[in-house]
Amino acid sequence: MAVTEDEVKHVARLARLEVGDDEVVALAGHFNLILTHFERLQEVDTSGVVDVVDAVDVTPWRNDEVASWDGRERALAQAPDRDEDYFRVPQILEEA
Amino acid sequence: MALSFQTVIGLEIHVQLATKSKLFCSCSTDYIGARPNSNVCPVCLGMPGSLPVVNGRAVELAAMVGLALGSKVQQATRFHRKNYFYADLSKGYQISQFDLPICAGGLLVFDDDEGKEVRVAITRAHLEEDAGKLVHPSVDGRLAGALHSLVDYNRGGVPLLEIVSEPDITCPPHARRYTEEIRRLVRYLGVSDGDMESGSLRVDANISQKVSDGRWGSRVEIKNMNSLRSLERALEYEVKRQRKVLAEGGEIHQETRHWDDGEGKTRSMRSKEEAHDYRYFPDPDLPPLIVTADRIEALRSLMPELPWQAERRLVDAYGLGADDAKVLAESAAAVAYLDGCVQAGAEAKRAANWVRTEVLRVLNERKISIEAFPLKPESLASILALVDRGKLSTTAAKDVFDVMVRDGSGLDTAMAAAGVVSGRVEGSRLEEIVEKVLAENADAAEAVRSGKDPKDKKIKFLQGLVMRETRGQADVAQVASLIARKLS
Ligand SMILES: [Zn+2]
Repeated sequence: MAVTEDEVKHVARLARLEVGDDEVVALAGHFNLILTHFERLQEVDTSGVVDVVDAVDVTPWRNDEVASWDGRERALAQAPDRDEDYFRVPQILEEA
Repeated sequence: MALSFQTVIGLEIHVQLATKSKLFCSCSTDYIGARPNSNVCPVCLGMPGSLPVVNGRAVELAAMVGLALGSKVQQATRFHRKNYFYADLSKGYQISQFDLPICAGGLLVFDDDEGKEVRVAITRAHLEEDAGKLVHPSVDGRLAGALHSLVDYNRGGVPLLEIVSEPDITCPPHARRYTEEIRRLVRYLGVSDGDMESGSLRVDANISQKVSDGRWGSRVEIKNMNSLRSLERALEYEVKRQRKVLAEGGEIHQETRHWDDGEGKTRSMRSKEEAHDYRYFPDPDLPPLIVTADRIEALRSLMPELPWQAERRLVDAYGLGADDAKVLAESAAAVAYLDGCVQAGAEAKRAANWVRTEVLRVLNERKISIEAFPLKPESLASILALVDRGKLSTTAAKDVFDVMVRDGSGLDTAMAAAGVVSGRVEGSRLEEIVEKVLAENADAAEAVRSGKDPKDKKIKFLQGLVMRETRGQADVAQVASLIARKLS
């Protein structure tokens, strides 16, 4: 099951990564190496292994209590762009 | 031969859970009217290195809905990342549930508008986080001129429960009834305020047509229906649209359409080619969500009576009409209030009538919930007891009720303040009132005395005034004879 160059481009687009044509070839090779490795793992018989969700006894829960954070100004200041209280992003049209 | 069609509808309802803090961080969920980006922290802003921790209350509220719908509340579930890029999503993914939702299966049974039973199976209900809000500033009133959009993450991370139905719904009115019933349930349980206008309850619909010649139209998703009325209108419109296309030999393509309430139309949304490639995978930041059997049983034991159970009980045990029972069973607090009145000795039907009219009227006027209603059920029961024993007319009782609500006073004080006396107004007290009315309306009195009242209009008018003065607590016949005697 080899990864094609088109698939690499598709994944790059989904991840919003800019990938040059020469990189696509190299990345397709890397993808295939990783997948080959996982194919080997697939050979292990896991029929007796419990799912990770069944291996955990209890999940740490947070109580429903409000705490405020004093870093909002720092967060807004670090954003690439802001408009007073808002983060400013390139124009997004409603998909109507 | 003419074609016939069958409508197939499935609904996805997002309910905002009534927690104080967000699903994975301690920021407040109170975003309406809040300063933009004031309820945010590294977790809900998607800062690298921050770690989400699940809110136990949100899990409990989700499980309560599952228990009410007869779902299997799963002990071992997990959270997945749903990956997509949109500026209202700070992290580039939404934390949701995928293969192991907290609630699996279930059934909702309700009556349609004609009283016929409808059964809709529930596929699943899963927990997920809400997205932030985008603001699109306009330039000269034109959206297209704006170069930027603004983002407020106050809503980002607020807990949602997405309840997914099977495609068991066969017509738009049933879709509306199903949504009404889910809304009543979440409100009744206190799980959500269920307000569609403000977006605490959002409905997306999947709708398709099966044609009698064996063809199937593809499933179309409808979004942006902000009220029960627009839900029904949008689906009615879509049924007609799809049937027309199919009747003309056309095809329905799988797509998402946006309901435009002003235009009364659904419109195709620009489809993004990768829109549905969400690449779900288990969120490595969150351990599996384990809801132990003990916790589920503890919740089950705390589950209140469900709204449809209460509605049936009000009919069966209290003898209320179906309509009264339905109105009262919209709210657990209203049912509890009525129960309180009955336990304090009030006759159930009379008490129900008062709760439905007088109590709900005050709640609406004051825009308060019944929990904040100043009159205890025992106090209302004490007023009603006087009515039952003929000591207070309904009119006088309402005056007393109003004073007690206004002043928070006890029954005796309120009666004095309302100028109401217990028992019949008769004897010298009644005579005083008659004389006062006749003196204040000397013209009418004189007309009656000199026989210029052929149709008895004026004497009826005078009787009415006297009855009003006595707050209805005099005997009508006695009043009539007293006036006649005084004017003879
Ligand atoms: Zn936060």
